[in-house]
Amino acid sequence: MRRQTFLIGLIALLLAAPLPALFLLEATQPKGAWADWLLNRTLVGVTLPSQNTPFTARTWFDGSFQLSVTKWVGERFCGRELCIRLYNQVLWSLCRKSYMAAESVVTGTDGRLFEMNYLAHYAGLDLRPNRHELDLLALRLRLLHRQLAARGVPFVVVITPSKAAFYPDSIPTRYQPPATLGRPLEHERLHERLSRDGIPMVDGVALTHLAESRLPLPAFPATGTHWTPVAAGDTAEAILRACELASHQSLARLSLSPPQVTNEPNGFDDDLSRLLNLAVPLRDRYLHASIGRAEGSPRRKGQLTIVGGSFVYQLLSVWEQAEAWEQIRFFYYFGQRETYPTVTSTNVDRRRVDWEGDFCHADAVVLEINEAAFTGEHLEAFFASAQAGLAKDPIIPPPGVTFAPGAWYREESDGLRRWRWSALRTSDLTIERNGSAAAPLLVAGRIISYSLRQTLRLLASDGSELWRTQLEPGRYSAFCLRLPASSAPTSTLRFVSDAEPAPPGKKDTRPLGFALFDLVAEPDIPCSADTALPSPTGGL
Amino acid sequence: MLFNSAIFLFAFLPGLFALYLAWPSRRNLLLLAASLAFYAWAEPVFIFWALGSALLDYFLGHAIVRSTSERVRRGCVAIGAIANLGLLGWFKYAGFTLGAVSSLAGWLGADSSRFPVLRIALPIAVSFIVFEKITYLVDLYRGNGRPAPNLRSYLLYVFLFPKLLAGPIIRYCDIESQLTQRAVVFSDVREGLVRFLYGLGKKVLLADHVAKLADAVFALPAGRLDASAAWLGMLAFSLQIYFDFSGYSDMAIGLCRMLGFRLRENFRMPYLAENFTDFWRRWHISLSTWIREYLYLPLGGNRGSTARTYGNLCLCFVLSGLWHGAAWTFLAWGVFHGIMLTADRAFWLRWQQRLPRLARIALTFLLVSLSWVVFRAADFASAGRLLVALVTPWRPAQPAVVWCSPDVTAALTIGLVLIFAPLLSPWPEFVERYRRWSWRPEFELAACLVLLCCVLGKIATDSFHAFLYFRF
Repeated sequence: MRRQTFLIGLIALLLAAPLPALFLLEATQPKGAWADWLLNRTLVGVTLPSQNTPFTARTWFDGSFQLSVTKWVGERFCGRELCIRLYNQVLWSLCRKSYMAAESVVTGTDGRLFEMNYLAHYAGLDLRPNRHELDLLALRLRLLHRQLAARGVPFVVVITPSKAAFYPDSIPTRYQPPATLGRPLEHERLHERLSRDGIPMVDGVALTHLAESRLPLPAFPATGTHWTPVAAGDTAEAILRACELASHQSLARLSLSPPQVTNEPNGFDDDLSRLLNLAVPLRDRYLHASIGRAEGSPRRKGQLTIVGGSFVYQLLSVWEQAEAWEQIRFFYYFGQRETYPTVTSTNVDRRRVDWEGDFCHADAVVLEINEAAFTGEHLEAFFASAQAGLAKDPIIPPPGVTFAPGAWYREESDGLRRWRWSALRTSDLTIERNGSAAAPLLVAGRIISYSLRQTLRLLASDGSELWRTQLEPGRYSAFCLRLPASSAPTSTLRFVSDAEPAPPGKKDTRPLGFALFDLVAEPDIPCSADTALPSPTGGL
Repeated sequence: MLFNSAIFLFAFLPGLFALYLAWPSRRNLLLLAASLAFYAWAEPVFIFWALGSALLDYFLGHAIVRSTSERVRRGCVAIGAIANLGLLGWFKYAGFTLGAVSSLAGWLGADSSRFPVLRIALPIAVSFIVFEKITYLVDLYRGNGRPAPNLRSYLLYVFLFPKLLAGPIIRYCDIESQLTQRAVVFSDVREGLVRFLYGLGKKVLLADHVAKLADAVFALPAGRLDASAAWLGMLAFSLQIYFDFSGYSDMAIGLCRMLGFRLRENFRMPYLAENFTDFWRRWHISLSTWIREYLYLPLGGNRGSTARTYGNLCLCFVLSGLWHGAAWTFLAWGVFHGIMLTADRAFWLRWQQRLPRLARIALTFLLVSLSWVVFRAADFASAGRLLVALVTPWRPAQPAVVWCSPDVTAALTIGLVLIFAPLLSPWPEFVERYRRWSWRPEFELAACLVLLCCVLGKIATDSFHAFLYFRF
């Protein structure tokens, strides 16, 4: 009986203690690792902040108060972090699995950690960009390059590597692409298009492979999703050279001390393993090197604006160690604006980006695209913002487009993107050639239908079919077409759907066919030979 | 609030139990207040409907008992049944019915857009509350038991929180004496706690684990659904629904035991059933009892012709299917079970004797699992896709994305062992020796302590949805 009472007492303590203990410990704020785990101070990962809802009659009857309290207790009870770490450790030790980040951290065959997004791209679980989407991306890059070049601002594109594509042999079998699909090739195809168009591009993938062949450790640590700053050094150097070539001014040259191997991670090196929130942290070996400037090369010269994702942070780390740039403005996923060396961080209103101040007055603009994210949402926003921002003072006026009356509704915009809905099964638009009749015309855009499944064709004025797609509700289809040179001052394109526009609904009382987003038209003229690409050879 | 939520485990349960032990003279009042608070937490608006309906039933119950007029007594039962079914019909079936009428009108050529789309939030536990209130009135009419002596006892019967969310469905006469005379003894607290934690473990560690696999499979589009995924998904859902539902019943029975109430069992190894008749004697026993007592028998049961009996069976299970949810798939599930029960009566119970027992069990499990596919699927199209995938192993899916991770595999294995271990021949003797083992209570409590630690780890981890960094 005594033993049973003791055991029941332990169970009762486990249930009754967490909340009173929470209040007691929060009042006393003890220090130490045990206190951190009891008070949930050191859990790793970004969560949406929860809001405390005050108790009022309204919040009680609509249930928001109860939801808030339930969430509060669930996220704050004493010992929650201890429970999470111990449970994760048991799962990890037995099954090599974690529930963290919606199970998005996957262990490779050799213990390397991968993030699910990159695996999904590599395996083809996410739809890969097709030829039209790559052409559209290349066209947008060319248009942007031309717009910035006309303002004297060099524009460089850098492709960064995906860990999954970098170490395909480490990927578990279930995430290997089927034989009919093969490995992703968008990086090579975009490289080819940009080379043909003469747009400066730094192939970070090739450079990182070269760097890894020289370094004592892999370019990506087993415990992280990003490349190491040491591995990113070659790419950082190549970007400087590309900007230098395009801007005709000398910039810093980097130098790298002999790398050392330690057990201490550097910056993002262990971001995935920390996200696992284990009781016993995973360890790997990490590269450390001192990155500086070559003797005699300029210090803190030039203002760089760079747009990209998290892979930029390693480039920033390299440049800041070398004191390469006078100022860096980093648009993180085009949603956060950070500056270096004086570190500031502000949210970005994508509809009100200061293109004149942040881009047109920069000494160089760099766009970083990871090879696994050619169709990221932030890229769409960036291009839409660029089109709006640079269109205010069009050095290169866009060709006029006339939409057939009655076939289209008027243009709509959310302040960033522009679109038109079609009103009929057959909808024409006419593009002026703007005096560039001697050159072929590139026309591109994206189409979407929200409720109607339809086959959509795009016909030339002679009736020949230029493009066809099967529109699935909610999924974009891109088109990028090359209209041959013509003596006619205009070119007419006809959209033909096999379905009548969807009947009016509650949200929109108009019959709607499909929406045409972000239409661009550009003479197919390669960029200047001055902006030749730097060769991906050598290194730091 | 759910039994596996932190707020229930760390706030409601310890607080209630501490007061319950400290204040024995006011236990019913305390339990009623806690039960009303428990329900109001989830349904702050509907609780007023439920209370009003319970008040009506309480007075109708007394009227039934006091009246000597058969007409008045019948009238009171009818009013009560109509009021309760009206409540259920409005909140659960109005939107579905209107949608069905609209679809039919459209099929017949009428303008279906004229019909409004009704979306009414379904109050939690409305099905259970309504059924229990109907049993109270009907039992009084039949002379089974006495009316509640006071409103507090009746409301406590209706809103007793352990069985409120997911049953078991209990009759007032079954707990009448316990409402007024019960004691909280150590052995009940111990057994109840073990039962509660066992049910919590089944729900959190087994059901929720295999649910991930089931959800992944049922969400696959046609091109990615192959035979192995389909079979795994079907098995996973069969285990999920059993451990989820029986786990909740265990928790309800365990909590009631801790509070001094003894409830009847609601599950009795249903996947060891040898036919569908046997299955419904083992699965959700309180529901099948209710169907028999308050639907099947009043319809005539098997007292009429064979055709009438079969019709009554099918009707009962069609309604049972609809009771589970307002959707055509639930209806189809009910129809299937009705047909299988009819087949049992017609020929199967005699014919199956030729099969060995294991074969009967395996066949019943397979057929029940197939019915769960329809039960779980969002619509007939997705149910059909999965059923077709089950029987077409030669169709490849690209790319294969369903992976049974080691922890899910472990949960599936443990689940299958728990379900089918009683088939082993040493099992009865093992159970008997275990029951007589002097260290059994300590062993069970120690095991539950470990189980609780694992459950808390899972609950804590499930509540932490963190990502690498914030992406727009």
